Amino acid sequence: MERSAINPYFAGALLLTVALLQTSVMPNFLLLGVVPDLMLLVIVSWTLLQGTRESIAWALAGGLLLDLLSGGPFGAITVSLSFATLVTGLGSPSVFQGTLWLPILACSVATGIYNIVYLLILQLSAHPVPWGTSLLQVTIPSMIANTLIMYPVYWSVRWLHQRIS
Amino acid sequence: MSVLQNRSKALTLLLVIGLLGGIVLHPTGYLQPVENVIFTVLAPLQYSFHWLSVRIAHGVQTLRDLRTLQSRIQELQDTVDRLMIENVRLREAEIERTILREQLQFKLANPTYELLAAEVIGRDPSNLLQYIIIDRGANDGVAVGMPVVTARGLVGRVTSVYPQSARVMLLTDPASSVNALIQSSRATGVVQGQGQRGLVMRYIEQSEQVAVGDVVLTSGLGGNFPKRLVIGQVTAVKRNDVEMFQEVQVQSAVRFDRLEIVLVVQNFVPIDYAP
Repeated sequence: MERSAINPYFAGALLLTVALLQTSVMPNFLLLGVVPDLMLLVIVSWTLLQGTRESIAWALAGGLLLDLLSGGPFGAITVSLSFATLVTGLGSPSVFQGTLWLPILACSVATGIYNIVYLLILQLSAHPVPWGTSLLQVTIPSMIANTLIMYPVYWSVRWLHQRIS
Repeated sequence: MSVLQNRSKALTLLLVIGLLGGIVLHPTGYLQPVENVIFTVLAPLQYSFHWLSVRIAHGVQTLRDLRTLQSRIQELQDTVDRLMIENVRLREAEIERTILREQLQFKLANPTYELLAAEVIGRDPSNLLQYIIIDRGANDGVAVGMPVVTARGLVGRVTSVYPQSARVMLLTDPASSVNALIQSSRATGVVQGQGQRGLVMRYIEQSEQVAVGDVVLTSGLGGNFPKRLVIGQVTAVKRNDVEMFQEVQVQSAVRFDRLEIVLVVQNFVPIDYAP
């Protein structure tokens, strides 16, 4: 069984901080007109470092925190984050393992999945979804914006991972 | 030896004669041409010596200052830091004052509204939804359905309320729709959010005249919003003969991504949410 690398209370505090940063601080730093998805990047980084099992717990906890702060259907972010984490976790032990490309590739794929699953949930919950605008003006810019800050986030999470492991 | 002494005497005598001649001739001005030649030759040399002496003096001064330079740098750095902080604080105060002045003008122009100022403390974590979180909640009398405005126009309405905060759905959210009218022609329609693309006004009858630049206001129909709140301005008209309605793009004056302070209209009870 995979050993947990982090104290759950510490993880909770960390995720709460990330959730607050994402809703209060990150909106002031728009990249390509969108807010970078800090929580997604932290969880994708953790998935690449620690594997899927623990990261799913992070995705559930982080997603629930964001859902509490969101005006969207409750659980939508949690489900989207979990999907993105699952796919990243499944895809990470690939030919890109250990390469510099892996964080970028994982980040863009995860962002795409996260947004598409979220849009599907919005659609299922009868929320109006302008698909064209959402994909062209939110999803694609988000993939680029998240990729741009993936390395700083990944190195920070990796530093934390090394310190606590 | 005697030759040298004779030369010296002759030179002394020449100088004494020159001195006496100078004393006598200088006031009369007869020496002016000689003086001119001398000064013409000496001036560049004088300049060079002056330049050199100033540099040397500065160098000596710098060497003296080096002892105290470090502490002076630190002192100046402290002053710069202090002034920079002060400058940022003043700039922030100025921005806040401008926003509050605008809000006050709006309040004075709309005396019937009971307005509550609130600060934006958060935004929706998803880029696909357009919500803000404000620092006023049920404890301050905020209720679900209350319209939220700024001096520049309608912002949205309160969708959830907590004791100390509330969530506001912005006009730009795809789920937001507001009954609206064109100010000039009184044509009615519905303004809907389009996320990042702003606002669109739909369901305007084909027979209605709408032009770019027309002002769009809330119509008050449906009872969700008060009448005559500014929503924005028409920026494009899309009319297609095969469609039943025409639709127009609406540009709001509100910077939805830069909202800092908003006003909650507390004395408007929306019909949807009335008990």
